[in-house]
Amino acid sequence: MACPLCTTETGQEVRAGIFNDNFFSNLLAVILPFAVFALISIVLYYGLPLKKLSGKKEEEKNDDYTE
Amino acid sequence: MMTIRSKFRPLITAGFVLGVGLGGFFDGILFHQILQIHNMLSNILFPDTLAKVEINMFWDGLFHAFTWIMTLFGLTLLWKAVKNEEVPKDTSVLIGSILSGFGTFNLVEGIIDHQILQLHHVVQRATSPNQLYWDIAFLLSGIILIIIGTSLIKKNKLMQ
Repeated sequence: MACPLCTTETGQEVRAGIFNDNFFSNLLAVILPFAVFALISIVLYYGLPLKKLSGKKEEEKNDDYTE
Repeated sequence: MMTIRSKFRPLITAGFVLGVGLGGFFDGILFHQILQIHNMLSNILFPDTLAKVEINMFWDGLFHAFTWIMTLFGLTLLWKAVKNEEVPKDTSVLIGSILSGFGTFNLVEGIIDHQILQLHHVVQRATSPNQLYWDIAFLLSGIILIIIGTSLIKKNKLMQ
């Protein structure tokens, strides 16, 4: 038997191979693409913040002309 | 006031997130499990012993867990979009968004995991030059899917 929860020798080897000094760097590496996907999804939903800012500036300009 | 294009945003985002999730599952099920041509860390920890196979399986599982979360999030967004009366329901926009998400998965995962971090290659067991060809083919598949997806979204007259 070999699994992260197994008490066998191979099980211990598996646990040592997962929960070691590289655990958090490996975790970060696995998460990284998903962080990018989340960022793209936010941009898709709300639009680019720069675009919104320039849009607001345009609106302000138009207000100035109308005043 | 919402413009016609921005009215599509909830549907496009939902389809995109769902596409990312489905792309992740396609990769995980076909490449990691059925064909077993790579695992999550197979370029760092080549699975040539039972323990190394198990360690890779753990990280594969974590990858699937995040893919599952993306899919669940995509379903939630889709449900919200369907319930929102202001959001136009268009099949080609939804399918196009799903394909774009699927392609983005291949492109982003390919660039980060295969090229930058080199966690694994598409065909880990091949010799080095072949690995590069498969990696490039994977990236190209992503670009093609994004192009098809985007053109399907733009097919809608309101989006033109």
